Amino acid sequence: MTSPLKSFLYGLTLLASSVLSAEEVVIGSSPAQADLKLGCMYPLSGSSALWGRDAVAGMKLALTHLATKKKTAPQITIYISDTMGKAYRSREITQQLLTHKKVDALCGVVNSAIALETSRIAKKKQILFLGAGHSTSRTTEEELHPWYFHLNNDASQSMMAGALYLQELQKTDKWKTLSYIGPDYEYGHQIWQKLTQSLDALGVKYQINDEFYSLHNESSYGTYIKAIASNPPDILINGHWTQDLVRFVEQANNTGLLQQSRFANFDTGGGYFALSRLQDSLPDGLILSARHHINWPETARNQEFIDHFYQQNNRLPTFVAQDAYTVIIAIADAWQQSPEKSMASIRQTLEGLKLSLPEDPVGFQSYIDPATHKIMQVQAIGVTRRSTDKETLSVKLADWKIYYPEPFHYDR
Amino acid sequence: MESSIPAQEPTRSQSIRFWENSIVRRYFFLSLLVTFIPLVITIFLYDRLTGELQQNIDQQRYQLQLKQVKSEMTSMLQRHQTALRAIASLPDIGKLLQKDVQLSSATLNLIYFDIDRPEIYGALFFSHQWQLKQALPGQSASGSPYWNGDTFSIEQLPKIQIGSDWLIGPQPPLRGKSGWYLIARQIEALDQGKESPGYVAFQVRLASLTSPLTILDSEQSGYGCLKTSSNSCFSSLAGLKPPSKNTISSVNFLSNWQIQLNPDVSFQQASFYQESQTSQRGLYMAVAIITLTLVSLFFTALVARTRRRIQPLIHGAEAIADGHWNHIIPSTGHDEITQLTRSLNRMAEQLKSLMSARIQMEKKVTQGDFATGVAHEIRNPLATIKVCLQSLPLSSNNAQATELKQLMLEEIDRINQLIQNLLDYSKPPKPLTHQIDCSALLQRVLILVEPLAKEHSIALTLKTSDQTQCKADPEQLHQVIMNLLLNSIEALSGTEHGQIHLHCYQQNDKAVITVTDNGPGISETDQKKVMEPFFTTKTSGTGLGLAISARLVELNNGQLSLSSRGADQTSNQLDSGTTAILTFNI
Repeated sequence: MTSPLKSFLYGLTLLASSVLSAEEVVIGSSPAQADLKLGCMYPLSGSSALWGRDAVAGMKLALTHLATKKKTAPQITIYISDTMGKAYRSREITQQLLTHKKVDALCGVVNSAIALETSRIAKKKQILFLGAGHSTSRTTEEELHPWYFHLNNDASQSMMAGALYLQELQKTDKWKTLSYIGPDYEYGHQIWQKLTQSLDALGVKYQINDEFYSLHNESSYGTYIKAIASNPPDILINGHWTQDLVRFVEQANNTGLLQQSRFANFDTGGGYFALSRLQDSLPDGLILSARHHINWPETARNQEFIDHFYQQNNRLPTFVAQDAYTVIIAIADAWQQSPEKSMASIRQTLEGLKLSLPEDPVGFQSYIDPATHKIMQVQAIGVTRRSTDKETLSVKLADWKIYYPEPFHYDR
Repeated sequence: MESSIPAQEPTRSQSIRFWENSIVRRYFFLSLLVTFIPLVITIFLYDRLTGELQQNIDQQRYQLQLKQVKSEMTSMLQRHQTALRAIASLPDIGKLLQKDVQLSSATLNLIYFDIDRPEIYGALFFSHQWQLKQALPGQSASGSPYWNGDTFSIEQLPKIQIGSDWLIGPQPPLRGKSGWYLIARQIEALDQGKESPGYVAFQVRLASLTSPLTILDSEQSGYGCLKTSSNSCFSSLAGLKPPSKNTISSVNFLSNWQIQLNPDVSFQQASFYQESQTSQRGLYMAVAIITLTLVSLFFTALVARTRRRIQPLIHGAEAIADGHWNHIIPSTGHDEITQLTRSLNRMAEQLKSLMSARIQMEKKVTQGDFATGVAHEIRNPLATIKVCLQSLPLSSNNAQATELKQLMLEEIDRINQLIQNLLDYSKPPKPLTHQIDCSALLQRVLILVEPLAKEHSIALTLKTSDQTQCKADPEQLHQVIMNLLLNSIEALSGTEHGQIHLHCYQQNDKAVITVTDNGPGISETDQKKVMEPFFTTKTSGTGLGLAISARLVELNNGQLSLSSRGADQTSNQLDSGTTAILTFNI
């Protein structure tokens, strides 16, 4: 047997076994009674399972919220399939959700590349895809189509907020140089591209010392840290997330890099996952932000969301929980507001839809930009500081700076 | 006594100055030279040999590391080539190059399965003319050609063949995009004899290929570099580095590619080896300087100590040369200098004795010559006077005249005897030594002196050992003992309970004769002079008796010494007395 043939057969076996072993969670009303059927894709097993589990928990909270607060809300059945973080599985699952489950809309996807691929399928099949969990802005820019809506702040929004923060910081800190390190895939590239575009758009003067892209799930960042430290920037922009972010910060802190350069992660670093995993490894003064924070905004809605999540899961929510929560609230609101209850009508209703979410600060309501299909939300950026509230986290974000969506009102 | 030494010119030696004429200085610098030259030679040889050895070891190590990097890079390429081969041989893979033809889900998923790796951005399908026809994104896919927004082209990229496959690129990193390369393979034709529909390629993350270069990255040696055919140099993180002209070591990789170990930017002026050697040499120099300083300090201390030890010797020698024979050089310790000091002191003592003996001898010669001359000049007229006086007619009635004449004759005899004594002292007759029975000799002398002793109420006793023999002239020894006995009788005359005791015995291969009296003794001051000629404490006498006796004993290779306790030296007068001790060879 030739080795290519062996490889072929081996691949087929793996594919078959992985698809057959695919985990699926079904929540909400029974399919027979459902007004809407959603097919969502999240990793429910493997190293990224936490995100999928939080997404499921977030959607459950949203369903509870609808059941208690909105009597006219639709009955929704949600199929959540395990992508295992693999692209080939996601494609297969998408097909299964569409053909077997006959879902009305797709949602989810953490990985940006898979999101783009799923978005193309949605475009081709003319089925609604409510993106939640990924950050690439390509889905709402170069790859934008009528059936895709991005329901969390994407890289362009978080990086514009980051650029504004850096612009402000430059006035006091007189920083001049930046270096970047992020993961070597769509998300990591987008973060840096969008940040430099935003800085250029704002007219911020800066120099780039270095730019590095690490392999996903890199175990040691020693080579990168050494390279960055050999020409330390004033500010080190980081585009990692999940375990990559945790490992990098731990190793950078141990080698003293975080004392040499100011660290900033504007997209995911301020989320509960990174803060809870790093805790005492986080020095004061890191500039972090995420799509959802456990101590901002200090509103009853956010606290209620966090408390309910904690009661049901015995842990605090990551930002993916909020992303998935938003999907359910958005589709439910759109269904309610849609006159014909058809998916075409719902799609149209989503354009410009206003919705109240836990992460909205007082006086602000999230909305979906009809032109870009992006949800427009406030981006809050904070700085790490020791916390006296040891019950939740020993390090929390403070000194918040709040950036409203375009035209980017700046509020201290 | 010192004044009798002839003056020497000059007696004072030149002053010793360390920096001008010191032998210690010469030895000091010689010692430094002897220390420095081997040290420099050793350092030089060590530096050369270790430098070469280190370079050889480093080169071998670098070659091993380079081979390891090459092996890992080759392994990575082979892994992708194997996957490509599997995809290129799929039955309907060529359909992907056809417009609007849907590939089976199983085949597509199989391709996705192979490209769903972090280091692969996606799979690309090219026509025969390398025109991109299809792009399948993997989980790490980013931007073009998978998504809209960027441009993608491989026209400007170099292509090299690896067996049946092609390596296209690498494309260096751009702002917001990583570097990448394509590993491509021709798709097998659907039917035999037909043309292949095109190529399938993996777009691979360049940093994954270059990551093994970290093996070469080191602060000491430099950094690893993947040099491609376009003369670009990629670091382990796939960053572009300027090509280096001073490559430390390299191995060939693929066609026209090289894996290089280049010196770091911080080593632009000097290679690591040079810097390493310079630092080593600096260390050697520091060690040499420290060693020389320590050796110099040690020798300086040693020199100062040696000079401190030698200086008293110089001064002592100068003092002796100047005739100060009583000068004692202080000596401490047990080393050579101490031995030399003691030898010098002993030499001074010997010189002192020698000079004293010489003076004594010259004095005796002078006295002898004087006495002979005087004796000759006085005896002749004295003999004439005596003859004349004896011939002088005197009236027998004139008793006074007769008495005067007799008195004059006696005085002439006394003068004559004095002259004889003087001659005996200055030119004693050569002794005729024999083996003598000392006891017998003493018995004879005792018999002769006994009447005189009785006359002065002096008790004479003798204690002898029958075996005591000695080697001497019997006449001269007889004279000496007689003289000693007469001196004792004279010393005891007028005293009560006078005693003279003779004792003869053998001790340590010597015959010892002692003559002891219990007379008034000799004062301590007089004891030093009593052997000198013409010294006497009596109103009568020539003062030559003891001097002659001492001379005779000396001529017979014997020794005469006196031990006396004068009345001034004891509270009890009965304890006073004098002992004359004669010692002769057996």
